[in-house]
Amino acid sequence: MNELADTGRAQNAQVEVKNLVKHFTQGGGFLRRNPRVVRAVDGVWLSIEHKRTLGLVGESGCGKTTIGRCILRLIEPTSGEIYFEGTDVLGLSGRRLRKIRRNMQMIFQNPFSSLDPRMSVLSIVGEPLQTHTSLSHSDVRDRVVELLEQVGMSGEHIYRYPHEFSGGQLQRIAVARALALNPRFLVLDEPTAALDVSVQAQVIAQLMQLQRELELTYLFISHNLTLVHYISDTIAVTYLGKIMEYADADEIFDNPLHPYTQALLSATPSLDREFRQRRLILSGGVADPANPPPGCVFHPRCPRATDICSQQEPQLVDAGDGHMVACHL
Amino acid sequence: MDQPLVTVRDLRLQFRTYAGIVHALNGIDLEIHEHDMLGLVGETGCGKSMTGVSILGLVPRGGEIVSGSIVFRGEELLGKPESYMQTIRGAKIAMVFQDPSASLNPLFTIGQQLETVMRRHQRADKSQMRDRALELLKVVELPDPARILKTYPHELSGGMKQRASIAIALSCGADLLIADEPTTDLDVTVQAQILDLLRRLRETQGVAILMITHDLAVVAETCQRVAVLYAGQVVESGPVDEVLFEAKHPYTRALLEASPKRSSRGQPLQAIPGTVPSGLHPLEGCAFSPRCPHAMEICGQAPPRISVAPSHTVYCFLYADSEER
Repeated sequence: MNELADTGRAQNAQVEVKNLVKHFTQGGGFLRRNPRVVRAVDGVWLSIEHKRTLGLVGESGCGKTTIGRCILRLIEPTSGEIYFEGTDVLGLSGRRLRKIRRNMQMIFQNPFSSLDPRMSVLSIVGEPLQTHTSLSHSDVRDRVVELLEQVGMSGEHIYRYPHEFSGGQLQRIAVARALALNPRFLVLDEPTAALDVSVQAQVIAQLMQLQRELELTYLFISHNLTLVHYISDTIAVTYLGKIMEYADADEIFDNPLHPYTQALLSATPSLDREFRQRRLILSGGVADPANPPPGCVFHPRCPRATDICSQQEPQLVDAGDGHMVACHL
Repeated sequence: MDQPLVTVRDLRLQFRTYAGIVHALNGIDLEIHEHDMLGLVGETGCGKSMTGVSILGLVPRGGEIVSGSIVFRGEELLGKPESYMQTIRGAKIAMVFQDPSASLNPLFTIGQQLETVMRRHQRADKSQMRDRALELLKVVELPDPARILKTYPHELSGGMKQRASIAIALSCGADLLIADEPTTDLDVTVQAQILDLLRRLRETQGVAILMITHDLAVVAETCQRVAVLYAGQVVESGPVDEVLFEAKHPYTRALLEASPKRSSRGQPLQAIPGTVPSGLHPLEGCAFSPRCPHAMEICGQAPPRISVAPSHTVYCFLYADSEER
């Protein structure tokens, strides 16, 4: 499994995740017997190069969001290692953690709930500046206006409140807030899932432009395979807290090796004429992460499963040119 | 062409609110043919769902259909008393909602909920109803139907719940199924299962389906015909292959260019400038003209209905000269 770290792509990694595990414990009564352990993330290896976008795709409950939050230490991982520009993020605490967090920011799925309705745009976008810098009030205001203009909004909006904006505008405000401290790495957790396609196009175009101008590194989390392909350089396909396949974005689409990736691709409705019609429909739904199947977690739904799949867990191996896949086939 | 199953003409729906009258539907024209799957697409607030509930006579409080007609099997539905609509609803026209956890009653088993609908519309004894219920669960491809009959909604997964609600909708042999975003809350692999099921039901059960969705790709893969809505009006309608791959109306084109496609990687997505007009102001002329790159002076007038192909209509002045003059 260490091969991922050894491949060429890991050379100038800005963000590196090694064997990340996050188990949530649920219930068990007050005597805490038999607590249910949900294996949200179960041994994930990732690396993201500077100025690149890694797309993380998978169905609900496969641990996409948990991975993103663990990297920023918004939730504490159970075990594993996370490196940001070579620094071990999990070894930090207090002031040094706060300092490194300035460089990593997150944009959430639903701007209606990630922005406080009682705060003005000035205080929303200015809050990180007040927390992390000693800028004066007027300097904060100037910077907020500058940030709003950077995301394609007018500086006049600073005294307005979230309810006065549309979903697309709110998501731009969330982007402005994330950019306030000049971060180098952004976790984008389904940033357009709550938006209409025409608005999604605006937000995606804006994010790609900002990435070029500000030399940002993105972790783009989404269930929408077409969108992930559009924005990402590399794609990691996750299923039940594990990486199933990890390769260049075009490679994943043109030459998917894992049966789950193949199924996901054929299940995704497409507007491209040439890619319609071929269908591989899986039976059932995603298994319970508290009680994952033995062996390969995907084998109960896999159309090509053999005996070994239910007994032994496949390792993520290089199938050539850095195309990693966890499958016995 | 034969008589359509449902013909909607110039449907106008308004809501009274504190802010004023909201013009939700501004003259919808639709035809749904027997055994056809018609996609109704558009962005949030364009009136997709309102069109669906208007056909069922379930306009929410505060809403009023001010003009238009809805003809089902040659019979005008608008203005019919509620007691009459109750004999249509569920029996002739049924609905599948977006969120099956909200549309199924958590306090009753799937079997009880199926029987409630059947008892309302059909005369049958207990064992006949049970047989029919088992058969319906088989039709929607639920495994172990006898067990499912006794389960409560919370015991089923999202995809299974949606299958159960489709079974309830089909229970009285409806001719038209209105599916309002039936797969929006589901994972892609489960969405593929449900879409596949709907496609097969159309073929095997001969039911016509009105598929309401915001996802053009879903329409491209499931429907035969599509109507594109903008600000409470149909802007373009016709066979899926023509409308989605040879789009005529500037809005349909803009929507397609804003959607990420596999082939569009590396090319910028085209955002549509401006925003959707507020429903508070009555429309004058083409609703899309303020955002349209091809807008002309004449667009201030109501756009003409133009047939660009035998069953492909577009409401736009751009195509007027070929036919009108």
